[in-house]
Amino acid sequence: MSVRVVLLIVLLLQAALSQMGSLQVTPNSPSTLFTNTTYLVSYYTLYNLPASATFFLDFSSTYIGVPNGPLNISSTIGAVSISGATGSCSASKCTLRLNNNAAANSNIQFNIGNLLNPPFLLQQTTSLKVTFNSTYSESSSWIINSILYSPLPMGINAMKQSDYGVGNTDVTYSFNFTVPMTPSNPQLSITIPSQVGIGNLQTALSFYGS
Amino acid sequence: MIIFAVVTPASNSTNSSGYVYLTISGLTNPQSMGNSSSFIIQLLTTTLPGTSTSCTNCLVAQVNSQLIAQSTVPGNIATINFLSSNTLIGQINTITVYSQLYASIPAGGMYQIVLPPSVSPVLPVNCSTVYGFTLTNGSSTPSCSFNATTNAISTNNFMFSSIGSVVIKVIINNPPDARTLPFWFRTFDASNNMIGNSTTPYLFKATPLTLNNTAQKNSTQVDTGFKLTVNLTLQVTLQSSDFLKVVLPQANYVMSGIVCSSAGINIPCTSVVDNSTNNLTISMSPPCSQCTNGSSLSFIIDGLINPSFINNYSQTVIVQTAHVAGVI
Repeated sequence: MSVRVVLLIVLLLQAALSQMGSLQVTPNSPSTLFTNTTYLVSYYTLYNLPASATFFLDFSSTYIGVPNGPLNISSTIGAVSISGATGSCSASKCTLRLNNNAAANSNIQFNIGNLLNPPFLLQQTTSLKVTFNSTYSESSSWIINSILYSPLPMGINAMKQSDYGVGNTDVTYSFNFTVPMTPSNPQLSITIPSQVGIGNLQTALSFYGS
Repeated sequence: MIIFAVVTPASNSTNSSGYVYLTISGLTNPQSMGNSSSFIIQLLTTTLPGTSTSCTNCLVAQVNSQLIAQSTVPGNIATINFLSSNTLIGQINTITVYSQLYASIPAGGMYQIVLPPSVSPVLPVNCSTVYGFTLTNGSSTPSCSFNATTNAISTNNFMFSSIGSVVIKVIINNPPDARTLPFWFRTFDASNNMIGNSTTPYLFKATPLTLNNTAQKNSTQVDTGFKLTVNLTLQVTLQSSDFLKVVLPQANYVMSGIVCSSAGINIPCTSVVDNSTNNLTISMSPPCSQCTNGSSLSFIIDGLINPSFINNYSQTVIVQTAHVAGVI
């Protein structure tokens, strides 16, 4: 075996050892904001994972509500359900245990919940540290895209126009609707349909909390 | 267009639901009858919770359906003026219509004249923009079409990007009689949604033709019976459903004695005394199935009685040809 071949093998081994598994965290349905739901945590491991391995999942940089205490949890390895997984959370950080061996190049999934979806649309960054053993661990992160969440619905109680004539100007439109919650520093945005013309706009707004 | 308004909760607590009453003034209803797409109302938070760090497009809740603007009442089209080049019955008439529009006509839309049932356009339809209208891009010649089902003349390439006066000229055939007839005016957008509709029609009444006739009494003595002989030359073709009418001044008529005849043959006729004028009107069908324009007719009415005095009025006899709804 030539020196060149040995060097190539060594380089390939280094490259393989520097690779880490990949993480994905997504909300299950319902994905409506500010609603309790379960989350799917997927991790693809490149290496054999011992039963004693731990998954330290950190939601503290997100606005996802995480209850303190034990988690409801179920798990699969390669789409096969397994039993024995456990999880508990404190201060938005959760420790998950598969309690089963997982072979290299397999996909591990945890369904955890219920968590509380964030109260507004914003991408949420989670991080995960997988500790294989006392000498090896991997860290990765995952951004939950905001488009995975649905805004809360608003209830329409009434909408009226002061006039219904074609093309009539200076018409007053009145809206009576319900907001499901009031965030801090709230703001209302109204998009006027293109078929409606805009003149000298004046607005008035009243809010009555329930 | 997006406008923003800050909601101030009634209490300092967040996360509470509530009712919002929002009014927006100064909007313009859709430019044709129908619905708009929905207003979109969104509730956002402008800062991250517990911080002053701004949060952009941080949507919390929204409604993007059901908030539909509606235009259900067409805008009025007022007729300012209606000029005729010839108002005589059955004649070709170039009409110039002055309308006041309260909503514009977009490209692809149309201005429409709904003709009365007995009025038709001279075909092919000839129309022209006199004022206000512009032709749609790419058009150089005014174009109109006629729908026989709706009896309406519609512009094909007219638009009007403003509100105000427009003037159009079209050529029509006047009605066959002098009854009062309504012309309606409408506008539509490119999707055939109505924009405007005349709330009151323009009422048109053609001028009766002069009927060449002679009416001869065989006696002019007061309070005596007489026979009236009428000869006339038609200027329009009469149908069997049309009428010949003779209007006689006030007198002590004994209507049971009135007999009508033509060419020696008695023909049915009706006699009616007008309650307000006391004039006697005798009506009969033409003594032919179709009396052609230019042909001569004669008929006799017997059993009439002269008035008890004589002056110009008492000697006046009016001879008319008429349609069921008006004088020809």
